[in-house]
Amino acid sequence: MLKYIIKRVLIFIPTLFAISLLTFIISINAPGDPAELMLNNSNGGNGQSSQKLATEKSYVAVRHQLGLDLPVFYFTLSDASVPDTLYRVPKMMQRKSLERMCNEYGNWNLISPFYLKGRQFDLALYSIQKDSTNANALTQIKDLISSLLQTYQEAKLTFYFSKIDQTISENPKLLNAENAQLYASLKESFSQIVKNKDTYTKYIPAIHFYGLNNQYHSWISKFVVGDFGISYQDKRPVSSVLWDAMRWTMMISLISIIISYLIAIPLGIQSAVKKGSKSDRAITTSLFMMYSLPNFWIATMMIIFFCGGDYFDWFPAFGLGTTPADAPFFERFADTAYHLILPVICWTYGTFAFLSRQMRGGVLNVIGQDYIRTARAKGLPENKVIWKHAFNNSLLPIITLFANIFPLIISGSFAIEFIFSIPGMGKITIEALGARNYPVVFTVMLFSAFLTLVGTLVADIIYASVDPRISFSKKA
Amino acid sequence: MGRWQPITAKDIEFTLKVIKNPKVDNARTKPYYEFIEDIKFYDNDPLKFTFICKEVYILAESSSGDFSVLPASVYDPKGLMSGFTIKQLNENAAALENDPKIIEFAKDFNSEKYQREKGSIVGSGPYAFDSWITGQKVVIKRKKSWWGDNVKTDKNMFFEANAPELIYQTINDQTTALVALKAGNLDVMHGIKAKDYVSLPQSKKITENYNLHTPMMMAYSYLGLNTRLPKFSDKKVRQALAHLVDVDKIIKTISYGMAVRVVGPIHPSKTTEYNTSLTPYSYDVEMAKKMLAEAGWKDSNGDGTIDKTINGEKTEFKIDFTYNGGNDERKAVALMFQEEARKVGIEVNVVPQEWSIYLDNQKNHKFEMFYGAWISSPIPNDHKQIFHTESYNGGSNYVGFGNASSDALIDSIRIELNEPKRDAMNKRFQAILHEDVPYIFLSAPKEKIAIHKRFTNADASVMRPGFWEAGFKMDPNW
Repeated sequence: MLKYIIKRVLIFIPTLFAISLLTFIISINAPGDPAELMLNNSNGGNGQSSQKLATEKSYVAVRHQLGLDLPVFYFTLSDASVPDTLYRVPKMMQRKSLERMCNEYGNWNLISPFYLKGRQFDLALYSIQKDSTNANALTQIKDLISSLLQTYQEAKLTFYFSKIDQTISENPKLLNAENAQLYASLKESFSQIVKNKDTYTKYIPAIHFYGLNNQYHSWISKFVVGDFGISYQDKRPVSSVLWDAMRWTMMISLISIIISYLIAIPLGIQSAVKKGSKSDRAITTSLFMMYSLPNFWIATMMIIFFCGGDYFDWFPAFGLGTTPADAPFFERFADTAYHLILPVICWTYGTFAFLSRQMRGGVLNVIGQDYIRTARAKGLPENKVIWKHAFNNSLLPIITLFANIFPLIISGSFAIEFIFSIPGMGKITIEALGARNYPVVFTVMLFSAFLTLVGTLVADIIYASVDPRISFSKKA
Repeated sequence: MGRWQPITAKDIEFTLKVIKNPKVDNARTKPYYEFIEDIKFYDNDPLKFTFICKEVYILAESSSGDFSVLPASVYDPKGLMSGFTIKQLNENAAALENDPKIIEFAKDFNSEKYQREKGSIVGSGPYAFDSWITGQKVVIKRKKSWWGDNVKTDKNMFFEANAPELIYQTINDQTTALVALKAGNLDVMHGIKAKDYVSLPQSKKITENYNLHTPMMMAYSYLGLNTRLPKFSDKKVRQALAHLVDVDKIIKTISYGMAVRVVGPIHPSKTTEYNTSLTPYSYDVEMAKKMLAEAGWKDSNGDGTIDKTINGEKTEFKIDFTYNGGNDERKAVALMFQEEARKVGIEVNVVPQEWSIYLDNQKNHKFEMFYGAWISSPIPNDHKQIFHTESYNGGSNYVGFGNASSDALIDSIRIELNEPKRDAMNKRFQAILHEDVPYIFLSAPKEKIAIHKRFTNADASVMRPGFWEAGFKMDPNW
């Protein structure tokens, strides 16, 4: 048995590694940019506008701070046309357009100077003094250049260039000698790109190695030593954020699990033993009715009716209590418990049906067996027959469900937490996903995965200890 | 925590230095103080100082007064920032990023200590930070002795600080919050949904214990049109679409009458600036049909939707109307628009999007029509961020409005300190927006607030959030 356990624990490591890879890759590729989200302000009605440079600077600064300006992984597998330094371009639209340009023309050594000259010219336009003569033209050209930097199609680029040419010819004083030179060389580099198309490079696979300095490595290397990073949303360490939330979720989950098992198991056994009787049918019907009532609806109903609205005032409507932190432990405990009664009820009632049916199934499976008939024939009281002989072996389906408890403890329930304003894991996780708060999301995912693995292992061990027919050691 | 120290101009300088420290985590607010280049002190008066600003700017005065003053003794006990000047931080920010003192100060300042620890969050106001339990509540307590209590003259609303303790409860669910209100667990609630607000007077518990207020909110909602798309590039088409939106009906049925129609970005309460001579677009389906036909949109193939040949291709008039998923009021407006558009032969597709993707798409101009809103305040409007062409890439001009003359007008408004002149410019600007229709302006909402009757001195105001809670006094007769 011990060997089995050790083998299983060792397999955890590659499994977790694979899960971390999968989680990371999917999250990074999801649309939505955490740097943009952090900088976004919807209160734009009045504010000073950030000058173009200031916004770009802020954006680059935030990206750097979040570590998003590093390559994503140790290596990338792509084609020979795309360079390995593309990750350095901060603006997503420009980066994507450059990638398409590489695929279209294949000559990065010509595309790169084109892009850099384009950026230079863009910046130069902003230092031109605006006045009534050139304002229109300047606005037009700035617009065109911005669009140009995000375009890859040859026809469109030619069109933009021709429009810029037209604007310049109509306003000969617009560009000074230096800027005119810059623009001329920009146009030249574009025609070079088109002339020297190298499309075969698109079909050659290429692997670029980035070494250890990439996002995945910087995340996983800190994670394994317990540094879970800093949450993007409120800049606190992820461990504090999660610990705050986990306390409450664990409390609610554990109480809920204990209650549901304590009630469901005897009910299930009762149903099985008295199969077909009135009590069996009554229990089954009421449990299924409870199962079909959605818990978020029941939560709202309970709040409206029992929490001091227009009806009864038996329970508090939200939160976790207002006793100060320095009050005696028992007082705080009682206050918190009082606040948790309704959330726990909402969490638990739905599981009764499921658990008790599984128990019932397990017991029915066993009761029909020969050895039970023998026990009865021997004259043992029904009590002993059920609880001493049948019980252990009928637990198998319950134990399988037990494996799920571990990850459930930290997953929480978003609906219940939202409605009762309990700052638990469900709420934190969903909000982190919405804000692309990668450190929190990854940590929660990996914990969940780890606990699932532990849960399955524990379940397997319990099988072996409960049912003598199950054993993991090799037959002698 | 030692004795309190008097606040001087040096503390203002310190706060600005903190704001301008290149490694401090405030990318969102830094640009707002970029205009302050330097500060000048006066030997004979420690409370007097002058800001040297980069340029003339209408918001310079209000922005200069709009930050919380931080004490160096709490935030910089080692005096790391004392060796730098504001001028330095403004001009050499890039070079200073590698300065060890700058880095050390920023690391400490950004850490959790200055966000959550009692005693480490200190300002110049009448209240002291007590605790913040994430997701639950924030508690602040009245300071026993505050310099503001000794001020005899020139006291405004913000000097009234009567409440000994203020607790801000986090309640996520509207229904839960309303029940808590009825149960008497909350003293003040704002942001009540229109539908719930109108049913509150039916509850005896509410009418007996709470006063209800609906002050104007300084915000407005609009429908944004991507003016760079070929189908929306014709002004006439946008004006036609404006005729399809029955704003009065929206206010009546979706806001339950608790909103005021606006013709532009300036709030109606700014009576000297609001352009009352502009006629809002009437709800007129026939007019819309006529204008679309004039713009070249006809149903040439008899399939029910109007079409036009654009760039050589026959294009049917279809619109993707996006809104942030979960917001039922916006969804209702979208569906109303869909109905009206069908009457003129336009097919509208209502698309809910997740919030961050919704914002992303706007920034990258990957949208056709969306429902948006902006919040403003009583200080003068600066239209640059939303309506200047420079803000098309990187700012908030998602719809692509503007040309050289509108840009010039926006720039002139920014530096015009003479109010009557500026009012005239703002009126002209509103007229330009009204004709160009980059936004179909909807309405400015009213806040919906419930305040417990046992408080006096508890009137609603137009300043966010609609009341000044610190000033509440207990009614001795309650």
